[in-house]
Amino acid sequence: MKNSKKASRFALAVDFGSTYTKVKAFDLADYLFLGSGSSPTTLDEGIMTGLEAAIADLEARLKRPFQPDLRMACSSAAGGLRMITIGLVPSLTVQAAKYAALGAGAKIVGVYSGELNRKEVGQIELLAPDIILLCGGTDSGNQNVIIANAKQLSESTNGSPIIVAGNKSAADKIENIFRCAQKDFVVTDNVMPELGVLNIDGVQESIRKWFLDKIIRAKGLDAAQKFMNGNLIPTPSAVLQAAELISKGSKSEEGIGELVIVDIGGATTDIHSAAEGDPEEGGVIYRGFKEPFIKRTVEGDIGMRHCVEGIIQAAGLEGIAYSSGVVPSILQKYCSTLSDRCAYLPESPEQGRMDTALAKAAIELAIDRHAGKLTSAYTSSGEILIQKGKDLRNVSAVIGTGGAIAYHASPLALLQVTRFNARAPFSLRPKDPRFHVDRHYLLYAVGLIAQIDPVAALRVARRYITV
Amino acid sequence: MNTIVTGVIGVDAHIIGNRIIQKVLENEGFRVVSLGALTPAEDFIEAAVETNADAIVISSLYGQAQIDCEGFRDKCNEAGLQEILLYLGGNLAVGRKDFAEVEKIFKDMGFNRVYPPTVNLKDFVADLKNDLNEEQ
Repeated sequence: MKNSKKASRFALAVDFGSTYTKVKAFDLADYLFLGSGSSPTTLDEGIMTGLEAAIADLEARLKRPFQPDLRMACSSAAGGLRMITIGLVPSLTVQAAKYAALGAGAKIVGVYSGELNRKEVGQIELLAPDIILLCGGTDSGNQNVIIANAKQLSESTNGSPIIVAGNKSAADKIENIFRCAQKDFVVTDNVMPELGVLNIDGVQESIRKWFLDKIIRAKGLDAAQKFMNGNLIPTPSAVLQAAELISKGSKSEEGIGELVIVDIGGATTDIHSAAEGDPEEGGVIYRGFKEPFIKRTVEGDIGMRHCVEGIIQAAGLEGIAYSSGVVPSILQKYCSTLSDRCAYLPESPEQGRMDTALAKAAIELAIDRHAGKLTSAYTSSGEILIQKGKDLRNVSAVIGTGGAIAYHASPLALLQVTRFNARAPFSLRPKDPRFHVDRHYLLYAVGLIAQIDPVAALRVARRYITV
Repeated sequence: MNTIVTGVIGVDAHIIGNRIIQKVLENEGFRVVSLGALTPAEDFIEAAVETNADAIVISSLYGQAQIDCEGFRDKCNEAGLQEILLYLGGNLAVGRKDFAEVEKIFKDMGFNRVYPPTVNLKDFVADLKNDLNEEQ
């Protein structure tokens, strides 16, 4: 009997999105994706209303009732996990704090370096993030700045919880400051205990715990948490778990190796890499600190609808117009109508060509910012190459997801632009990857299933994504 | 414990002398933040800010120190490191016979101590300890 193969055969993966609640149904005994459903997210009347409607939509499509044994969910509803990060030096603890927050699936709404002034504290109060990550100083390094910033935050009206992950020598003083001011806070390991050493596990664990303990309730998602078997996690965090699983594999099965995921949305373009990124050839010197194996970057100025002007600004109107086969004024006019129409789909071949050119430009900008760079330097002993960031030239796969890619007529042509380009040889992009498209939007679900049944999650990914 | 940031400045790959300096300083009980070869001036300063360093010890062997170190003290002042000790040593200028001349150039640029390639590292460490004591 097939049922006896697995105690938890049928699984439901839910994504509470900012506009839509999406559900995916799986048969984990046979590693089958059964179908999808969706319905608008309902924050005001309770999150479960939208979920029930999405499940009803799923059942209508399946033409039968669906009784899951396992229910898992992630959420980017109510603004996602909005974080502010504070560090000391922009290229050091500020960057480390950003990696920690992005890797935990956060949406970073503000980044600050050095001592905060009143204006900045005012901005933080206005932004009212879900979590503030306060860093600065290596262990036994600079204390003054992080302590000054703790004082500033303690005197502000800010009520956001604060994760302190800076110089350990300053931790006791900061604890006192926040305790006296009755702030919600937790002290964890320094994100950069030694210069150039990234240590983000402690911070990410604190973020996960806080998201579960406090933020879910604050956002009205606690009813959903009760309905689930696993923990409700931020959606980008589910995608990152999928990236890690597909790359490294499960205990019993190998993964596909190092990979890159391109996720292009209306307001942002995200790139995830699961790769070491060390220099591939001798004679290359690495500068800066080693980036995390799972690295996520979010380009907040580049997206297909809300942030379409950002693509034009960064990539240039003329070039994109030329690739679309239209004159620049037509492209400009088209873009000016897009920014407040999130769900707009092209209505003519010309608009389709413009969307394609915009998507290509967005992907290329985002991968270029994510990938490492080489610069050459001339020394007395000849030319040498200096690498900053990850060398992605040897990753084995690039996976595309997000509406602009998944619903495109030729998605592989879009993903081709992530490739290493001889015209820009110092941008360390994938040289010869296989390309895959997440046509059914399963990546988040794979990440969710991976928490409970990594073997089944990997097989589902192999069957439907990395075919 | 005093913290010292050290490395080889500019596009100079000569690391060995600087590694010896690193070992000597560690043996003397300093906390050493070693940035290695090919280190831009800004990286020394950023590392010193983040680690709250007491001194920056710069090596340069390839004769370009004057270009690489231009404005170094100003940049430190800009980064809030007014008190930091700046040491520089190595083959600092090609073709100048009189070291006193070389020393003057770099002291005028704001370096506290300037050494020729032949310096005895014991003297260097003694100077460093003295200077740090005076500061405290």
